[in-house]
Amino acid sequence: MARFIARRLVGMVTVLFAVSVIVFFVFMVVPKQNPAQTLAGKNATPLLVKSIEEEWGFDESLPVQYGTMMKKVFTGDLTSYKPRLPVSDRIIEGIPATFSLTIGAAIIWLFFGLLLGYLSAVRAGGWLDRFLTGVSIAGISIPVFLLAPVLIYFFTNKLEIFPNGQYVPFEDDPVEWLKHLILPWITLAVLSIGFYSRVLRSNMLDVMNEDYVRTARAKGLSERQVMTRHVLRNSLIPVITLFGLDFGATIAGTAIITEVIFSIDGIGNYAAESVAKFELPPIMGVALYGAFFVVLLNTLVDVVYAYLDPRVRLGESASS
Amino acid sequence: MSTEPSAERGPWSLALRRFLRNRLAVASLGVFLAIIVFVLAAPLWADHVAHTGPNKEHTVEQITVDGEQKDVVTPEGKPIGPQWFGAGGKFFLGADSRLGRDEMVRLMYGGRTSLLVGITAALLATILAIVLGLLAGYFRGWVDSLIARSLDVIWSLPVFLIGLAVGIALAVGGLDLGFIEVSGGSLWIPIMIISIFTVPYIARPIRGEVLSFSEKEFVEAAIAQGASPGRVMFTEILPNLASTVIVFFTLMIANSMLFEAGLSFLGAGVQPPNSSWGTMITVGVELLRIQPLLAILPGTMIMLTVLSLNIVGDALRDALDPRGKARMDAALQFEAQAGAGGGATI
Repeated sequence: MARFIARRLVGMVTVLFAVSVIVFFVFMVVPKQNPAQTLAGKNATPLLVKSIEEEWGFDESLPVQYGTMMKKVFTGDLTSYKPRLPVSDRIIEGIPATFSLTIGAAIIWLFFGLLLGYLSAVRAGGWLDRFLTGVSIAGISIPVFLLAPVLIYFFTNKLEIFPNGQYVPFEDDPVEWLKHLILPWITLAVLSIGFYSRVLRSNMLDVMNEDYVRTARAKGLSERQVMTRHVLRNSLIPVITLFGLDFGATIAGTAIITEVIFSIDGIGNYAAESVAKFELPPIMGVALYGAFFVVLLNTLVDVVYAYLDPRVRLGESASS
Repeated sequence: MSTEPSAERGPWSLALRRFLRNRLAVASLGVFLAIIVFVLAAPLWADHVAHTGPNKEHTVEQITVDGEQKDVVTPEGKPIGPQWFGAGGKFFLGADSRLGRDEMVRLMYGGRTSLLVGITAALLATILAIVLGLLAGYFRGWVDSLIARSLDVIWSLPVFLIGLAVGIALAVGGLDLGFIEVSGGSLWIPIMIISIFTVPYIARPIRGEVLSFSEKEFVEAAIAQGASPGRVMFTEILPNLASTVIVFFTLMIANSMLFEAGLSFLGAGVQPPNSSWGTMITVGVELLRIQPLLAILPGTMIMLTVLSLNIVGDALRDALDPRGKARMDAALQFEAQAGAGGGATI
């Protein structure tokens, strides 16, 4: 186990280093124009460009410049230049909204994804299975930037059931918090519901052919006990790993788009605003912090997974 | 059922027959071809029906609909809705924003950009993946370690977030690598970003296949006859990868188009004056309360394209290798990864 964790940690550091190098090169080295000009954004004054040049030390060697960038990012010294604001403050402000959105959506997609997948596997081949498979494929195929406008059009504009986007902090008004988040949660969850139910269904169908399932039936367990205690349990492990990966990817992907469409004031919306204003320091900050968070989460999931399922860590050391 | 002995038919014609038997897949292929025709017809529609261009503004103009004068954009800034053929095909789907551009014309030209970026990025990623997969699978040793580790690193990145950062940095600053120079507004920037970040999805299964093929007798025979590594890789192994490549290429186009739409929606993909379905959704979302169709139309086009490609890709997989367990697993893994890290999360 210690070896497995050590190996994973080395892998994690490699990926984090790769992320920072990519960001460094893309922002500082490959652009055609002066990097200070790039950081200052479009239509910057020469004075601002000059001060950024000095602040970041663009006349130093590349490794020194890289060091300066990393220091700025991790001491919270990174600032946007128009207006001059610390990036880390805005990111911290955005955390409650972003996590309310993503964690709530994750609970919904896990619950419904597993429920639909289970029902569909138990009734494999029947009309319920075919119907649910159709529903999942439809769910997988709707991109969020189509689903969100459609939901807003029907539920906000036409039926006026749910409010028009925005985020209300939970501590201000829990009921309004919930009402404002329902549509964004659905938007974010639908794709994963479809995907998880398909994955669980196919895992369960695989497990049903295992010998121990036949043994369980042979010793006289009821169909329900066989399904829940043996088949479902063994099918859940891959779903849990998938969830670890997916949750990080959702924060760093779909959640950004969902926040923008529903005007939820989270980290993703901050990133999108900065893109629209061509402000690069915030993007650099969000990309680095976000990537670090996601990679950390994935490593954690891997370790937990290996702890739960010895085959993983044993397989890994056997193959190397 | 046909009574012809199947031994007389080649594997490709058998695969074609299996594909044609899948009615959903054939219909999806039809939808995809219809979308291609739709976007190719853009200049015809623009010149002969709408009499305008995709970026032509009609802010203070009026059009005659069934003998009645109407503002293209009302003084309050509301763009005109769909007119169908009321104005002789002008503003068939209405105007796009307070700039009063023709939505139908923009939808057709935007689709050209989306498909161009999606197909080119998928093509580049596929070519790169074939080369990397062949080198890694054939030479093994440190070449394989280097390639496989690099692919692993890209695989574990949150690609959309990094792609967003790279996209906007290059859009502002342009790209200068010494031997190659690209300006900030070029379509090559999103194409390069998408293809580099999606290479592992296809390179990893190809590497696996090359590894298994290079143990087969026909490869050993070629080596024994004195064939050079290049010849073994490209004339012996490569043709055997054809079915895998075809399936993944189809799925990659869909994935790349979603990636592009996500980047462009946030302003880090296709840059003005070019527009794509992704950038059109940005405009549409701003007017969501007034004219929801403007966000829903380009979104629907993306969904139709991606869905039809995914169905065709799945059917090709079944048709080319109905019992190929390994390939099925690779494709499921592709789905899982694309769902987890790539464009499909969009």
